[in-house]
Amino acid sequence: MTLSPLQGRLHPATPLRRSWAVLAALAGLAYQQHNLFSVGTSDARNKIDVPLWVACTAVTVVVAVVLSLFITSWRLSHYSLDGDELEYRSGLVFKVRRHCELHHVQSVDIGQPFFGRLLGVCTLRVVMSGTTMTLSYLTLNQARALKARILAEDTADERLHRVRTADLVVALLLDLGTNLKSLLLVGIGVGPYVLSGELFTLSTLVAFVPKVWKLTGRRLFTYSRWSVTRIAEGSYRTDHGLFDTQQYTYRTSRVASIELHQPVLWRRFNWVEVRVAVAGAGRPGVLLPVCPRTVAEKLVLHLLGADAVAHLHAPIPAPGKARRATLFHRALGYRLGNGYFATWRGYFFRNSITICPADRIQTVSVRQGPWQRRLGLANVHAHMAGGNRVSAVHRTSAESTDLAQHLHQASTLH
Amino acid sequence: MARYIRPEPPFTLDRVEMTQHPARTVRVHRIAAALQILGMSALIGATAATGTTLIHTLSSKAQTWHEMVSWWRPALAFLVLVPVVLYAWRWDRIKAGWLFRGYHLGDEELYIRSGLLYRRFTVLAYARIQEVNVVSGPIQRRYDLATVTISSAAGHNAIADVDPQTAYELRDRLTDLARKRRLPV
Repeated sequence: MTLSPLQGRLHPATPLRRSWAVLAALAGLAYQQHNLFSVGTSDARNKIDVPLWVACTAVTVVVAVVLSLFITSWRLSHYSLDGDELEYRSGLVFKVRRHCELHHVQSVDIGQPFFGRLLGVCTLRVVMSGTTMTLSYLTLNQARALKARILAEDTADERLHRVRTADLVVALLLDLGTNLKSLLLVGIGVGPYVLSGELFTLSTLVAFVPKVWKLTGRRLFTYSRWSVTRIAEGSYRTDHGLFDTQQYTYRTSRVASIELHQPVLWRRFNWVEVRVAVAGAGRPGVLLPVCPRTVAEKLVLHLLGADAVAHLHAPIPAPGKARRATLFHRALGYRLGNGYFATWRGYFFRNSITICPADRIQTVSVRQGPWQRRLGLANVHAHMAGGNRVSAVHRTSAESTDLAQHLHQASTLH
Repeated sequence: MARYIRPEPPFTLDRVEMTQHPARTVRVHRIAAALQILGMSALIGATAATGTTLIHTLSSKAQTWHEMVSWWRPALAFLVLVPVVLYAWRWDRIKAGWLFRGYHLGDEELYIRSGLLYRRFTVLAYARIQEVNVVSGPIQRRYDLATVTISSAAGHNAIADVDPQTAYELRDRLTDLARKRRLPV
């Protein structure tokens, strides 16, 4: 059965996506200079008198030029989905023409930025390994039709977990490490003012406010209304965001490792944060910002299989010597078997477990620093596709030789 | 000092002596280290001298060149000893590093041993190799050496400083092995 090609233009609001800031700035500038000119009257001094017809023509010309540029660039932006190929053309001066073969597509996500949400439009992101093709703006109907056609899957969604806002707020407040870090940043920012009493020293805050905002308030906004949905066999989608809604789709075939983080004050609720590292993506992405451990285990079961869940318990603890190498020696551990490698680490106010399927390990390395050499310890790293690594740190020399060998063997079993 | 370096258990292979790099790599590394230390000490020295002169000029309100550099004492010449001692230490460590480094082509995997202060031993299955390159820098070319870089999905590894002929053979051998052992994707 051949389907008719799906094609159309982007939403007419598209040119505004980047240029609204410029237009707003120009309008602001024009308003600021308004008392420099006077229109139609010649009684005011120190003003340049502009006849009414000149003013009208100037405004008309400017509006006409801007509008015609918008309309031409909108008319030139065109997408079409024909068979196995998605094509996108746009550009007035610099022509852009992108092709994408559908069997390279890893995930398709619909996002709604705040500005787009006001207009009822959205952004379609087509993720391939290494690159992302973004179509914005589209109407919601266009985006849904494209997504359904690209994925060619029926969307029998099953929601696995939804984060309650109350839980999220409590969890973020109890995340001691991050909160102390933002307090420290605020302290550094306010410090010069406290010491000197000069008001202008508060300008240092400008450098710290974005970072602090990112660590505190923005997390609340981006993490709220978070849910994980199973959209097809082996595909899981996260939806989140208070003002701009975002989606990300994880495919089990691309999962390199899963991390469960637990800040120290979350222990009494037994909450964890779940992060997933995907082959090809640089840093692990958040799968769930906060959830009970049972839910996290259910997700590990979904993403990696039933054997993996058994591996989240009973680590082999680090040798006693490790206490001379790190403060967090009691949190260290690893476990290898049944084709899964799990490691336990401790940081300031936070513990984490990382689990990966052993057959997706790319290379294995043993490393030893000068202090470890005196203690007879070494680190064993399993390097995953995409550059992140799963590490069993501070093991004895004999143990690390053994572990490296077993990891290597497990990584080549097929 | 240097000759007492012997790789110990996590960095050794059972019943296998790893291939050593050519002896002239020591020389290349010593030249590179000399250039590095010379450059760094010139930079740090120049910055420190300018900074001190500036502070001195501002604080003493010096007018002439003579007054500007009046902070200078003959004893400061001994500061030259810092890079010299550093280089002497590096001189010895480079030899030790050469004794430690090595590589070995096993049946199914490649072993690379590198570093000295921070030691590293990498095992890389031929099946995971995605790309093999031979590169050679100006000092390496002068001493007829080349580096084989091996990329997998997890990043880069390198067999640094081997004969160009060996490098070409390694490249051909590794690409051949990678093709034969390729895992089904």
